[in-house]
Amino acid sequence: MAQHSSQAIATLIDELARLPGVGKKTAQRFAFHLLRAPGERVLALSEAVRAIKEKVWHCSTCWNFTESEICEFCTDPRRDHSLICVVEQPNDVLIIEKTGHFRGLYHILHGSLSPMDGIHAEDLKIQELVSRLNESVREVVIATNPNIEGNVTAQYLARLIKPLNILVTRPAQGLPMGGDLEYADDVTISRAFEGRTEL
Amino acid sequence: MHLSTLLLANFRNYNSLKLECDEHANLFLGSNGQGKTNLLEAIYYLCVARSCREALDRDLVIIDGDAFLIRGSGISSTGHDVDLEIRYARRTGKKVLINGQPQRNLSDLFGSMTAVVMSPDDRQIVQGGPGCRRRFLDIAIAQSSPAYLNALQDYKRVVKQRNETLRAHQMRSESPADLELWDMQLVELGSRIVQKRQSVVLELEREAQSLHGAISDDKEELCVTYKSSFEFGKVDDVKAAFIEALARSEREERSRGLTVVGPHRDDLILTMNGVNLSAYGSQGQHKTAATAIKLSEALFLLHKTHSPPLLLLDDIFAELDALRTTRLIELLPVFGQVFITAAKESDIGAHGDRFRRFNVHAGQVTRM
Ligand SMILES: [Zn+2]
Repeated sequence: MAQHSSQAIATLIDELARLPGVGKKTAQRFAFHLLRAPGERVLALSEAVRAIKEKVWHCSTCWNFTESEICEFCTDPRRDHSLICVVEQPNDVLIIEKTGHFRGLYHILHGSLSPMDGIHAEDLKIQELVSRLNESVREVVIATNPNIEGNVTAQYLARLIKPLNILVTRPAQGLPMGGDLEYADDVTISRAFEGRTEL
Repeated sequence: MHLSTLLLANFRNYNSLKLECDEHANLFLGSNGQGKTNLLEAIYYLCVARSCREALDRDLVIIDGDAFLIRGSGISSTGHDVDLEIRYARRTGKKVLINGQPQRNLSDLFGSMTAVVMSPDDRQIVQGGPGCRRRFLDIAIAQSSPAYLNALQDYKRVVKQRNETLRAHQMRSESPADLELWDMQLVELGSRIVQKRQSVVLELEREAQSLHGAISDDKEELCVTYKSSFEFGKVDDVKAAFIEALARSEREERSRGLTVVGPHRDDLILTMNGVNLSAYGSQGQHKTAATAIKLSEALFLLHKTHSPPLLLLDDIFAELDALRTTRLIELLPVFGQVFITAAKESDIGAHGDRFRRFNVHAGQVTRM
């Protein structure tokens, strides 16, 4: 690697290169772009980056990102509070919301069961899910990714939740098997939610 | 199906290459170490996105390079114009493009073009361990059924996850409650794999038997049977038998922290007149049997996909006697496009004029 004339530039490039999908070359391009950019734009970016660590934390109910104690979904009276959709990552919420078809609440597990990656049930927000399942909850839709780990996680949750006399469903197949929700289009996701089947 | 042009960049010892292939028969001549095998490896890689020599992707990049590219165009197994491209870079890994469109899964590539490679290493199918025979079988099936490849990849993942679960329970000495969940996936996927393999082996055996008779005068009967790690009666009973076998091996699995039954432990048994070839056969029998079995893969793909695979014969004639060489050459028109490498033209007897001939020297290929 070429030596940089400034330690500050070198540090910035190293930090940028840690971002997913950003290689050394892209990091350099970003860094030099920032060097040329007006001062206020660069400060706005650095403020935005700082803010996510100072202001954003997890909703104490659904474990989505929020700036308040409880997120805007969980406090929204227009949403169906008897319906909870379980997903792996906060990003999945954005994808499902984009379709505009789902009007219930969410619960974010922050991963799926994967012993080979050292992720067991106690490493996911599963206990937190069970503890919010009171008598007003009618149905839990488990929208973990349609891959091996997502399926096993769905089965695990079904075993836990069904004895509580709550309907447990999974979005219909048709989502690309082995894939992530991220890669499915809106229509596919909407259809999968409409045709969900009982676990 | 055939490949009409092949482009290489920074692959093995090829800095840059453009090759116009004959629709039927291509012969690459040159001394060892000039890049003949690398050419066949590139064609094979274009079909299945992996090396036929079990080489790692990063070792396929030219010395001092960061990336390679293989691109080929021709007619696909479904009879359409197709353009396949695989790019690999050390930093970002492998990308597959079909007709310029990036593919999300490598398995999407499977079946566009199919290939069977034959080389002196094929005797490993007879002489090597069960893993060599499983690999042979899996690639044959995967090329005719991309769904099989997905199931196989998922299955391998389940085995890993399940082994980790077994190990985790060893340390915590808890009752393995979530083990059951992995068991369900293991049985579901594993049974499908066993059933598919079982039925394909029957087809391969039939092809191999007729080929064995055609390339040698031996009247001996070659048999290929699938040996599952658990016994089952009918194909419909596989699932139940798998579940039973898992239950029986529970103690062993828990003490070893390993999944000890399932298709990842299966094997093919090769016999000649009822005698186990791997243990007892002569070198000559091994060679002929390996040739028949590999060719049976090509016939199987031909019948399954209604299109003959690209047949890549890597220096196999130097090892065969004149009779077997002639018999094999006579058989080639049954298959589609053929690519042969040989050190010298006399290796393939007096049949050289049937081929478009190329000279391979130091990473350069010239038409003769
Ligand atoms: Zn919330």
